[in-house]
Amino acid sequence: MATTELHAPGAARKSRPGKNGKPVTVGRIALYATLTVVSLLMVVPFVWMVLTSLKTPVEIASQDAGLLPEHWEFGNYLDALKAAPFATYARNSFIIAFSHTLINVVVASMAGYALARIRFRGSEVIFYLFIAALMIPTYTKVLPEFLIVRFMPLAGGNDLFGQGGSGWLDSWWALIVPGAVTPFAVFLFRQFYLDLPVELEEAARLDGLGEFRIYARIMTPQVKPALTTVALLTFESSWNNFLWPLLVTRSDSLRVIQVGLSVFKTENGPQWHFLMAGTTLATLPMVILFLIGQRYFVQGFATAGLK
Amino acid sequence: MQLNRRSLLAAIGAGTAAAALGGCGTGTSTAGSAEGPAEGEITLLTPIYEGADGKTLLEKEILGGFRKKYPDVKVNVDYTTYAQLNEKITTGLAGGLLPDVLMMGVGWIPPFAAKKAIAALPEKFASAHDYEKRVLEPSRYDGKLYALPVVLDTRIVVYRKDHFAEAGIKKTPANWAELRAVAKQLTKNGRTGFDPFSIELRQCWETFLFANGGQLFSADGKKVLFTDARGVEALQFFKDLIADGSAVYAKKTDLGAPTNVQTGKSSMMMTSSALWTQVGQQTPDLLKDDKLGAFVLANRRPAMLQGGTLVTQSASSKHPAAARALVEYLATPESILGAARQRGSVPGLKDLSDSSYVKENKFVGLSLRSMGDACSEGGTAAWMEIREKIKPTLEPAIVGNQSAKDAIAELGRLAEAAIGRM
Amino acid sequence: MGATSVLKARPAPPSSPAGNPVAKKRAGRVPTGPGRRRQRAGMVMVAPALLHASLWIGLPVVASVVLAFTKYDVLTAPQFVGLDNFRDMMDDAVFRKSIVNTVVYTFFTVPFGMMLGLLVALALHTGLKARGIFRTAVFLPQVTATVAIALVWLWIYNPGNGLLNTLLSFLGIDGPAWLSSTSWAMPSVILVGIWQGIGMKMLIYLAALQNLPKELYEAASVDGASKVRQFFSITLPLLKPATFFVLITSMISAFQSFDQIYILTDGGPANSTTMMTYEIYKSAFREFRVGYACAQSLVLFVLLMGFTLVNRRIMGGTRGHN
Repeated sequence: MATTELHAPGAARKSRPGKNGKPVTVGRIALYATLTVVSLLMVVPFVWMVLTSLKTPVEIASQDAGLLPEHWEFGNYLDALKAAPFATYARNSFIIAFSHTLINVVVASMAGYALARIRFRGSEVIFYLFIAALMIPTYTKVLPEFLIVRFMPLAGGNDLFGQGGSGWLDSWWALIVPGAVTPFAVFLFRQFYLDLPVELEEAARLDGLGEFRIYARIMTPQVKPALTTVALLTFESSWNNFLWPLLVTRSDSLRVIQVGLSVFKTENGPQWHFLMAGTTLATLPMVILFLIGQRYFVQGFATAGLK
Repeated sequence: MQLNRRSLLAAIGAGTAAAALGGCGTGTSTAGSAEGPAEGEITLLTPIYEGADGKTLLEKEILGGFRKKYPDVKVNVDYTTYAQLNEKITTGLAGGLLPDVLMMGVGWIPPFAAKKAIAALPEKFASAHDYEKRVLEPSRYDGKLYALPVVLDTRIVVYRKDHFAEAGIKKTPANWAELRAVAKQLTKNGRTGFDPFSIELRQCWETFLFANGGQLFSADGKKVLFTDARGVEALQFFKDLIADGSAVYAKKTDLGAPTNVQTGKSSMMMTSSALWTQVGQQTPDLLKDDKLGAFVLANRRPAMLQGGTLVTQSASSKHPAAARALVEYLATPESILGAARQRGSVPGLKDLSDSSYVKENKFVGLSLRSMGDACSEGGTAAWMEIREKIKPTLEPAIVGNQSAKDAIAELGRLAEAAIGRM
Repeated sequence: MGATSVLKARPAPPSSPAGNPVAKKRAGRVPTGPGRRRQRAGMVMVAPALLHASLWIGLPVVASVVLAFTKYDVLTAPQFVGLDNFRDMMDDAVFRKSIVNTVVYTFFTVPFGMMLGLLVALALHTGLKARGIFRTAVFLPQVTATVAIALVWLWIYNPGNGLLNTLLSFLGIDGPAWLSSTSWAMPSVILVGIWQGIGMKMLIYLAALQNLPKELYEAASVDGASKVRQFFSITLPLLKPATFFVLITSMISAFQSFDQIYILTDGGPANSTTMMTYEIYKSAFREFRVGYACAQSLVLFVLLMGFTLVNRRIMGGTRGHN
């Protein structure tokens, strides 16, 4: 029962206008039940995270403590926030994540569009290169990338040959530029642009629109879900980035939220209550962002239906 | 064949990367003299003094005092975590920007000193404070002093006094035969007598190797010595405990989680001196009721593994006099007592035995009293590589069917290959 | 030939009952009459991303390839050693083990994760109430830093009082020591991998589903095709670009999974969960053998390339049966 429901996007769409139009069927109940179970499985670790963030270290360590905290220690949150300048860290993370998202959406969608819709010399090869670029592990890239940042010519006291100073190290450039465009996003956009009907493009071309306008005005509005997806994923991975910001910065004023959270993972093991409180707070903006972002998802969905 | 800057340029054909890679080996280019007046702007890389408390301790108290003494030195602090310390040091070295003063773990000094990445300190630092001779051993390479200890962590055996009393055991085991018998006796009702595995297997085996009278490497660090019977016996002892049922590898606890002696699931365990602080936070009743005791592992000799954080100075510092002054200052009794208190570590100076911190923390007190039995890992320039091989190579003997002899022999082969590559 | 056209992942024209004019038109996608201006516009549009990737990925790759033939410990300048690193790798039993582990991990996480991701996306694509909450729940693992979430899993898998074994004990089952058992550690890690990856796969499928033209489904319904039939002959073929994307990116990220291993098992017990990226990390940053790590990376890269080509073939294979 559930399976037939699962495979019926068309039918579901028809049912959308009438709010309560769909009668409650066995299949629907089964679908809700399955989804509820799946969602619970996904959420359990977070529930534990939040509950732990409200316990005392003694209670966390206790063998026979219940799942719920005995006393709800909301003070953990205040104490955790006091452990490091989290306001600065959060602001920095936000600036970096926002810049990454903006740059990635614009630059990668342009590239994705060109690779999907325009056949030019070398386009095939370039596409393969982007896929290949995806395959390089972080720990292989990180040292050479660090060296490029450090020996960046004419920056941070460096001469034309990158010697003498410290390049982009400990600057916003190092935090923002290297991770600004991802091959992942280029690849994703390309796959979405591939899927659009050719008529749109042809009609626009007959109207005398230039290629850039066709990309910006005609085609890109059609891939709103992809824009949202890339934006969400870019923001999220940038917000959660830890290693790179730690490596290229030295000043506390340029450090990011994940580096701040690492304060609670001491050599002698994590300070669970603070770590979980801090992580909960750091996750919250992402959850809110997703809740907002998915509204645009639905919007893209609705406008596509009108056309 | 040595790759020089120009040949790499040709190979890569891109200016930036060539400059980058070429810069790798140029760490020693602009080092100044350490004898002049201490002045200039220097950077300190530290994995300790974490959090707002640590920051206050370091920047207000310790560096506040330092500034008064050396008003012409400005110190920038680069905080990192232990887990990412290697990445910070690796990238710093490759970029020719190693911080002027940096903190490292025990065992790291020979590899860095052998490659001349860190600078030797004047010998008078070794006698400036009341160091137990062994405490400075990990700071030395080729007879010269390269670092000073800031905080130490030791590996000792902690036991439940109440379990011992219940079983009528009056004294702590003085050798492995007794240890094995006591462990067996204490094993009952789902409780294991001994948990050696909740510390890193590498450090655990090393402690047993040293207690068995064994050694890791020859004095020059060129020969592997742990492959003899003493090394094999140390590993075999774990297998014997497992066969007796008095130790279970799968029941080890994770770092930071309440340990098996805290929960009462084991009567004895190998642990770090920092456990006292952890118990105080997680299960303070155990301290109040005086239920925890500690002793130093012994077989042919007593042995306490000594790890910790050392402070050293980059060989490429542009302000070596300032860097040296900071190294010296970070290792003064006042500085290290604060650092030790913040993290429950051992301040490695006999002068501090009378401090209230050492008196209150019994594990730290025992460690400081037993410094004569301290042994350290490392001792070879190839240590960075070998240390990573120990756990993965020995583990199959413990969780699998491999014999202790084969596992040790395999580790010996890997270690020799690593030394051969130096 | 067939293989390359699949990489372009043009949706295959669905056969009847969906074989209607709309579908046929969608197939002839790339417009004819190239025009030089268009070509130039294409190049200009791809240039910023390409330049960025050339500098921040291309250059590091070139450097890594060069370093793979050197001995480089960061402390002294790189020294050319020919094929020594590759010879050392032949003797490195742990690295061989890590290759096997990586392949096993990928083999289990990718297909199961994709299947679950697609199913959840399909379920959430229907006009359910509260689908926003479900979506968020499924996506939640993706938005939290792996490091923190892996710590939570550490607690779930704790053999003593962890959640999993507590639940099993209600059923009268004495659960194993998940992460310290050589036979259970890998499945435990795989489970975390699947759990964490579903959100992303779902999101991409969801985005792709929203781009599907509903006319096809209407026409198919008129033709009397069952829902299952519609799924296999319309939805699945039209999802091919998305599926190809999800497959390739999931495979790559499975090959590169690191944080889980780092926190959960440290590669153990007895190397039963160590993976290639973890070995590369250890070689480069713990053992200071950067040259060797670059050689290992090269092997990883070649393997991944190989798997991608195989996948392209497989995707080509499924085309025929539609």
